[in-house]
Amino acid sequence: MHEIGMLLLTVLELLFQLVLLLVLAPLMGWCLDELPLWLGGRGVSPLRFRLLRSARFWGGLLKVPLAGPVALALTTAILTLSCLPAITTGSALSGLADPLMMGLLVLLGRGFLARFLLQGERGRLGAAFLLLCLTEALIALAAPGTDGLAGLCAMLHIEPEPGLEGALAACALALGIACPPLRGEDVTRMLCSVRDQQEREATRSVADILNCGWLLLLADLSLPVSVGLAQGGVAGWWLGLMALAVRLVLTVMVVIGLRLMAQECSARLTALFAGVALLLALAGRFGT
Amino acid sequence: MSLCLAALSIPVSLQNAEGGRSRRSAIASTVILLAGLVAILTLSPAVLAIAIGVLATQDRDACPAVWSVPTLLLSVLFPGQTPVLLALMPVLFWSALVRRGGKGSPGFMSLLGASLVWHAPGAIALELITGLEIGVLVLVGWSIFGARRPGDLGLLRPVLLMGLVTAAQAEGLADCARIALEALFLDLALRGVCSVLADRFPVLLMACLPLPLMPGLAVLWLGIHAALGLSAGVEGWSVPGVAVALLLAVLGLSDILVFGEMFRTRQGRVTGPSVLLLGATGLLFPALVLGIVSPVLHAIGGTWVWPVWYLGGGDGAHLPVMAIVLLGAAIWIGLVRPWRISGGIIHLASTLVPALVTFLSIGDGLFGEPPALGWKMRRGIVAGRRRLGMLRKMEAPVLPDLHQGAIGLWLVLLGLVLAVLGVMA
Repeated sequence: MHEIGMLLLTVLELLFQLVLLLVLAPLMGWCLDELPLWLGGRGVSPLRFRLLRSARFWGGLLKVPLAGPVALALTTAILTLSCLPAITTGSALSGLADPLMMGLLVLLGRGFLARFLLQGERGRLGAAFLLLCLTEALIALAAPGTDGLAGLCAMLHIEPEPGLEGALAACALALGIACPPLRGEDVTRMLCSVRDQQEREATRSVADILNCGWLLLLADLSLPVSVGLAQGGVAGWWLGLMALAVRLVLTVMVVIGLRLMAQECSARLTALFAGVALLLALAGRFGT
Repeated sequence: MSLCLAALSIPVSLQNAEGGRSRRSAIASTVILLAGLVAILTLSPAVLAIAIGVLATQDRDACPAVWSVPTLLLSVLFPGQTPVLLALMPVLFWSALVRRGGKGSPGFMSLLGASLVWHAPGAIALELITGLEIGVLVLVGWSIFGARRPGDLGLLRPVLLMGLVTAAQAEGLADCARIALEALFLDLALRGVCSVLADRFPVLLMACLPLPLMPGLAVLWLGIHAALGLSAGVEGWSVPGVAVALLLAVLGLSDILVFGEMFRTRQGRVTGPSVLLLGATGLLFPALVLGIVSPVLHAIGGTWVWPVWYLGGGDGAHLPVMAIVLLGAAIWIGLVRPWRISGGIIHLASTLVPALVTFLSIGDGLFGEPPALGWKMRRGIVAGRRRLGMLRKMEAPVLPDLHQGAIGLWLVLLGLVLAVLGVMA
């Protein structure tokens, strides 16, 4: 009986995490698109339009089924959001969160969203692929025995490893530079040949959810310690929720900062941070 | 182990037999199959060299004889030495990677390469892998500066993985050797099956790619974990392990390039059911292959496991292939609701094909134009080229055309080698 209760709790946490992140997705999309404009002193569109569009999208989804490719993009986004550890490591699917698999899922979703690849998107996806492999390798090098991101978070609570944490933060930064989230204007360019109003709105909403998944992955990689433990109890859960909010805000701020400084997609900075990650992880390994 | 490799070679040769309609090409493919089987199964270096020689003569774009004849002779005299093994790699992969003819049997060559490494107990895996890395870097650099696509670099992956297997065995890490071997078998089986069925179901080419939901990702993941397991367990392997992981990633990117191109040329023949077949491949293929080869894996090390639900990385990590595929399929079907659309799930699956083609065009721009270099570097390159040209003008010994009477020539060479061995004994 106790075990069934625990299982139900994990499923409940999974559902809560998914719904919370899906609600946060339009908010984060708004921040990514409008905050740089607002900081530049220009007028911005109100947040409620975004939220309404997202609500219309989910309402429409119940009535009319999606087209195949967009549905696949949304599937990858939902899989990412439900598998990545967000509040605590105790959610039902957090055991499936292998960083390489999750990252590639988001990249696959990005590829399926558009009818053609944007200019420069090829280089971004290729670089992100290499960096994800590097991340997976560094985790396996510095923390052998951990199972995916959830296992890594749990291990770092028990046995802090500054070398690995620094390396992962550098990796996340490199990923953010090499493959920034999709912007509103990117999606507009993707949609230049699409006339159907409903499909346009659906693509925009799915792009927001994919961005949310990508940013959550970057946030989890850069601050894995802030994910709560499954055994933390109620206080631990609340702490995990706060930490999730702080982590996401920080990630969004860093991404917007990169955007404002025009450092996105800079090959030099990507290589620099990837090198820093490699050095930190190797130094951590040789240091112990 | 050898038997398993030999069994894997049969689908590859089947592809050859199907490719050629005429009687002549059928004979050629039989020769290739026989020579390859001999080479994979044999333990005698002399017979191995002859078999590779015969294989090389079946190929128009084979490695120049100036390189291949001395190398094969050396491989008889010093069997299983690392430099000789490395020197044999160009002989095996010349037509696929340098000439990019694609006429030979590249899949066979990677099998042969893996079996060569397996039969070379004296080789030092670290040096072998370093050599392979340098080779891949040279090839990639050459194609960047030449502004053309590299050949199918993924062919080198089995050799690399076999290097990891022998290294892990030499260090006594049975688990790690087992993981590398799992990746190796999965890779070879994927290439064999997909190349045979690619004419009927071109969409199966996708299964080799390192994308999520595809078995190719399992190969990449297992390879990375095997390499890093080695570097976590052995002191000197920290940096080479990470380098091998990155090399595997580069090979994965090259796979996307090569298979994306092949897929696009056959795009018209992709149907809805075959996309569903691809999904089933992603779901069942790893479990099936690893189940079949599990006795061999068991013999290498570890307990008897048949990984069905997830693949183990040997270091505590797991790749939940089946769970992710099933979950993704359930969500996708829930979103598209095929029962409400005329044509059902087959029509919906066929709408995925254009998006797949779009996604696979990732590699198009990568090798489009040569990088702009500074004047100083250009001057250096031109000077180097001039010197190379002068070298080329020097008189080179002219070797006979080896396509005619190939087997006879190699038999003569075998006689010579045996004579030398007799004198040495």
